[in-house]
Amino acid sequence: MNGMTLLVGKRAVADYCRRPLNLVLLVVVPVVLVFVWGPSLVDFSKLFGGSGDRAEIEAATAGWAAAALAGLAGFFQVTGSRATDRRLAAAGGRSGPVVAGRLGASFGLAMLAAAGGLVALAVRTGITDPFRAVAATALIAIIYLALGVLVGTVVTTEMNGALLVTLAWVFDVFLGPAMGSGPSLVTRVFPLHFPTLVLTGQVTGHAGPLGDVGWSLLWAAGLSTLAVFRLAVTTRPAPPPRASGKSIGGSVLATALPTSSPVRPLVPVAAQPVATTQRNVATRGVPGRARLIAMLHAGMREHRRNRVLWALLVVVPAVFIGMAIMVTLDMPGPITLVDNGRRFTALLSERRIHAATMVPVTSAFLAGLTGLFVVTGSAGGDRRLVLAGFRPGEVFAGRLGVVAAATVLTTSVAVAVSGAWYPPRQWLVFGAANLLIALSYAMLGVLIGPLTGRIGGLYLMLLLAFIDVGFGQNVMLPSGPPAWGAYLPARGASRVMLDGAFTDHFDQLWYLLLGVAWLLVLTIAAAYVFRRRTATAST
Amino acid sequence: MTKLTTLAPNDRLASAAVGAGLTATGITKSYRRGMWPRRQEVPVLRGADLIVGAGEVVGLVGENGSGKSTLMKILVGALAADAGAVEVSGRVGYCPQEPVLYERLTCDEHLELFGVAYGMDEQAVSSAAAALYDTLGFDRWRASQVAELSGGTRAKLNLAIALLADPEILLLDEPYAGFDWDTYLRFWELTAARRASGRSVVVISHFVADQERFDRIVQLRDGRTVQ
Repeated sequence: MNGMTLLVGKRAVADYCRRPLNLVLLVVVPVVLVFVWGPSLVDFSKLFGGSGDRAEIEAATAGWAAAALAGLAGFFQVTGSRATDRRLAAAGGRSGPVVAGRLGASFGLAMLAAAGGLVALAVRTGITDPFRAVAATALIAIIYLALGVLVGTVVTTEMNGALLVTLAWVFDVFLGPAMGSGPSLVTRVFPLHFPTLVLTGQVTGHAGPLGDVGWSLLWAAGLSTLAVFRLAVTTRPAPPPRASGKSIGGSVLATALPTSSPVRPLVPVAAQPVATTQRNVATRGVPGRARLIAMLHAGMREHRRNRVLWALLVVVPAVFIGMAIMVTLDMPGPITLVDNGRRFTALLSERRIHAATMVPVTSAFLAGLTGLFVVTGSAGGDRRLVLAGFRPGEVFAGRLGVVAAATVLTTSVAVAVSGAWYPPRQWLVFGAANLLIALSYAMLGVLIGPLTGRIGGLYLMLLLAFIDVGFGQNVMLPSGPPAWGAYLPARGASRVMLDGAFTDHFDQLWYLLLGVAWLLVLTIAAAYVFRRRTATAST
Repeated sequence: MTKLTTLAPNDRLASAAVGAGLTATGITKSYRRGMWPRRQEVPVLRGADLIVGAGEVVGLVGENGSGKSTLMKILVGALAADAGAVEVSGRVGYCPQEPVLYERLTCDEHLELFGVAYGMDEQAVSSAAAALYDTLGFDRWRASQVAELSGGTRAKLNLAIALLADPEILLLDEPYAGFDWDTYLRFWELTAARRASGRSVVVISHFVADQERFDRIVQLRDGRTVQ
């Protein structure tokens, strides 16, 4: 093995291990997915027409943990080292060893992720078919590693790329074969469709001559080839420019340029108002309201230009909720409701219930990520603005404006898509309750962003949104929402959401107040952390 | 322990009339490194003093890691000192070592936003921005987003933000890294003009190439300033 390859690989692994959060996540993600999500997903699988087999689903959670860790590790390996790797390749004249080293390290991390998932699975349930479990989990990790690397080489904005990898994972997990996915043909094109079936020991019957294992290997080989190709292209130093100068003895000499442009003569600076005794500074200052408007305006202008983000905020809820409705079996299911003071159990279509409950899950997750990325992406500039004279509260308000706009947008799309399939009984209550949950999670993103950074925050938002809104408040579980869900932020507004979706009268004032209280507490906590991180020493 | 006093922006504005000046005495600062049980306190500043009079151009030099940027951040209020006193009379302009900018805002939009932060009205921002574009030579990039700018143009915008409000005291952390020769010369002309108008400038550098351009050079050694 080339010395440079080995060195790049070793240093990349060392870099990963030097961030304590990476090591924490390596333990936390498999534990949460296998131990916390696993049992709930078994119930979901039954609802969606899946096998509902405990062993199968729990085996799949190990693969999903490996995919989540490997995908984002691959993505951040590429985005975090793109410029330096290119420089290293230019210094050595060859990109091959650098690419090989980077990929080798990423592969090692993917295997570490797979091992994490398998260890958690072994502790929780034991592994009945070790060869199948190890091989399929490793394959899933490789597929998501390749996907992460591929996205990292194509998408330059960290926020958009991380969002894409995470969303691919969410689609793969929640609409994949372990969860049922019904008769839908669309879900068969997901990268983990066949590998998940291999991992859980199921047979599709639609794999053709290649078989499920063949398709899984094809996905792994195909995505890996694309990822290697793209990484080689983005790491390769640019070829030397073709000079238009004179050729001497077979070599081409570029025409020399003057070291200083003669076009614009130096202007005596003393004549410039900014540097002379002529003062341009207004003495009366700018009123607080105008400063707030300026901050809001600048924040919206900046984030409006991130078109990929806005597209994701519109497209993802539309596609995710639409597909979730399509793959859910249209069976009757019980749900406890209160209407006009009367408590009763109704039998409703589970597809209809799922259409309603998918709205807060999706919008909470997307709003949380938006809060996280908006506040972390502008941290340096925001501190400088405060040093220049803005109050931390004004800057915070400006950021909240952007986060709120994104939250309203993505929640509106989610509500509209769900409502188009199954109109809620009380549109206003249903929409407001979903907005309350989404805003609470947006504040959670703003709160944890400065504390954990982007990578840790991304995992946390993913885990929290699905644990709380997806499981902790889910009325589709056979025994109803778990008791621990009462202590999580979405409990109050979730009850209001159900009230708006399925009853004719508003009966959940107490739960509405609980939801508003959570939003207030999270906003105050987020403001406190933001102020601590942004304020100057004197403020 | 000595008292640490930094004046709020409004106080600085109010005291601008009295006359520019910066006095820092007995500044100490330590950083915590590593995790428990291997956590260590690494002292960076051990009682640094710095006095800058009106119309002075002072160079602050020192080896890499000697604490120059830490001292600068304490002077502008971006970082709290463990002990010591900082008194600032007049408005402070600060140019950080690495350009701290918003990727998707244009140069014009940056100057507009920071103009509001400095309390300037539209007219003042507009005329100051025009002068800065001309002086630093990046007028053609005024409508470009930061993500589209070269490193040198980002450095110019970084400096322009610090200069926008024509502050009495300008603190510049390695300001000319990335400048072309033309801009480097303009930077010094600008500094000389500021000195002539009674403004103070502190320039951080790990080495000082043009000593004659400074009134005084202060060295930071072992966490203390040496004249």
